[in-house]
Amino acid sequence: MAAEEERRPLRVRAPQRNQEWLLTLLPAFPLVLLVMRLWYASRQDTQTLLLLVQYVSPLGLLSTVLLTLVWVLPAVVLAARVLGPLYRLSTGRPTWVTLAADRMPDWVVAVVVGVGLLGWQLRFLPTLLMLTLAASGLALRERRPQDRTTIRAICLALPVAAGALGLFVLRTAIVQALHQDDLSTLVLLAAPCALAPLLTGPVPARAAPLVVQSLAWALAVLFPLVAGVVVLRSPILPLTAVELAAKPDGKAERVVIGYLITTDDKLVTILERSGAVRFVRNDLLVSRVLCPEPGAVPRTTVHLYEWNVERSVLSWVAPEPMPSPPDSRCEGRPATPADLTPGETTHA
Amino acid sequence: MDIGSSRRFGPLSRLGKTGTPPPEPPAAVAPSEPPRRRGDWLRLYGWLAAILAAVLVGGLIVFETGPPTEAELREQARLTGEHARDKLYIGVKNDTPGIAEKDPRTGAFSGFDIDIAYMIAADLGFRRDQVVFLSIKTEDRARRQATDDKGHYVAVDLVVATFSITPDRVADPSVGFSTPYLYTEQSVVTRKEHPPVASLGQLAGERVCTLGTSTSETPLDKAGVKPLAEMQVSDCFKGLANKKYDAVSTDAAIMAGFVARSHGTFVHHDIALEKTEMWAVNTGTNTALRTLVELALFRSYADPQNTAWEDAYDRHIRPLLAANPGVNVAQSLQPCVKPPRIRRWPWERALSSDGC
Repeated sequence: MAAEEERRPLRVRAPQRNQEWLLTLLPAFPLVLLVMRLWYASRQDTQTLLLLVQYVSPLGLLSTVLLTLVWVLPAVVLAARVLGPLYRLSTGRPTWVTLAADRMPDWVVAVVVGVGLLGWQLRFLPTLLMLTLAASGLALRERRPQDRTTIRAICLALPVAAGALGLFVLRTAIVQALHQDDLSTLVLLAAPCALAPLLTGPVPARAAPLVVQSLAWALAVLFPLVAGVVVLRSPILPLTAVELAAKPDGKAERVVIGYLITTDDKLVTILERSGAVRFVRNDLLVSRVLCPEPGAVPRTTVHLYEWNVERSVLSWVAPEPMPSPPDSRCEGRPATPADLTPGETTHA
Repeated sequence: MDIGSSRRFGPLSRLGKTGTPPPEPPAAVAPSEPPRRRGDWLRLYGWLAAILAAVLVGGLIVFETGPPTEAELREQARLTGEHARDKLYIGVKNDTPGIAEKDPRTGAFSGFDIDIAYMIAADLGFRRDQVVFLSIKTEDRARRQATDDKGHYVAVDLVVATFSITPDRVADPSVGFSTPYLYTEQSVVTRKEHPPVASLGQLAGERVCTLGTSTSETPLDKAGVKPLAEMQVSDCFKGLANKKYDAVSTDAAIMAGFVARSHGTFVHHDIALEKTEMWAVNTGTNTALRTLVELALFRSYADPQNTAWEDAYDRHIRPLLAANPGVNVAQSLQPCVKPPRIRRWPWERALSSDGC
């Protein structure tokens, strides 16, 4: 045996072929997130999880997850298109990010920049601008390395002009962030404009692996993590409050707040916020109301001409909801006459 | 585009290709140390600055949660959520005309404090029929222990009972003062035959009644007057009427109603005391509730549409002014309120404050 082993040629690392199967894991990610979301909602209780799986529409849930994650796409594509060419320009060699970037056509980059413009919050738009300028500058340096005039225009003059313009446009918001000691908003608004001219060309060859590889791996780990957290915290079922009577067709005595799982001709199934499932007889039900989910209220008050920095173009353009006083039932108290719309009746 | 030495990274570079070997890279592009270029180091520093900024911003966004929203505060204040309750208990005075008085026949409370309490309760999400008023004694205001109709002690959520802010009370950990809702001052009431009083020192040697554990005792002590304390201010006025006492001294807003009701039997004297009595709501240790109370007071202060405070003043205090000439019963403007730190939707932020 020992002799045989000695005769065997030294083990070399097998070329990494046929790893396309890894791509099949890609659609599995949202599915894993989905199941995790349900498990989270059921507070780790298997029976509740099974009940939720039975009633929650997977297609609707999947679209919720994908819509929640649309903002990730521009970040991934732009990060690859910046880091890949940066590595090759700096060292003269490609790396895995470079090869991934080569597979992204320019029109995809244009589309995701458009998606980012619409879907990213205002405070992240300077970063989007910076990444777009860096990607176009690096692409130009790779494709037309001899065209010094164009390189100077796109890699130096354009970022300087765009950065200055950005700072000028955002000046009122930057001043507000300064006054409110809002460091994160200040950095997000000002730093990309100032740094944009510095990211459009190669870095020293020895430093490139450190910058590119560490950033690429950090992003590869962080993106799924952040996406997972965002999905786990997004609502999947409507939050409702139901008034219950002690005896059939009686007066409302208690209020149960929770997620409505299903309704049939006998029972209403509600997942309470504590994780408990409650089955309520229909004839004990007095009234029902949709409650606002305590949503993503902006943390900062910094705004640019009434456009809060934590809102995207889409939500800024969309009509704003009518502010209304919260319903008593959503706060756990039986409805008062002011809560009820004319059509609604209570057994007073 | 040429992909350099793609052979070393076979699997990914060959994705989607059909078996044809990749083209050999030209020898000229063989990996070698590229020449030093101008600006490389500057750009490296640029990248390092960008990474540093990203780490800083990421950390701040994760760990800096900002102030709570109104809904979160209501849950923290145990008004909604799992501890949801259907009544709000408020401790108030029951014997002070114009401020808080209980009708002995109907049991209904009325007065300036009552209207302020209703205004705060409405902002907390409680309607009038969900508010329970309980009488509270002067010495029980700090510990928020009111008594119900049967005389049992009941812990209340809020105390709106002519409770003045003092350094000693602020230092008490069981007291949590909101921002003030009324400014008044200490004054003196005597029977009409008493000579005019211009300072507390003139009352030395006389029988002066005041409220036990109230802020009015200290200035009297300093002026050399030995005050006789009663539990209820109405007892002081009963004593003044049947000549058990010569004078009553406490907050002008508390006594103005008694003077107005006496039809000239009592006279109100302004004494030259600089100190302003600032009445505030006591929410005890419930700091979330305190922020919500301040939000209610801020809305009333900053919102021109919200005239609850002005209405309460016009209804209960302004009618008393005619019977109390020369005395600044209470300031007719709501004390300034700073905007509490609360996270709100941009479309809810319509109120501006002059910043006090």
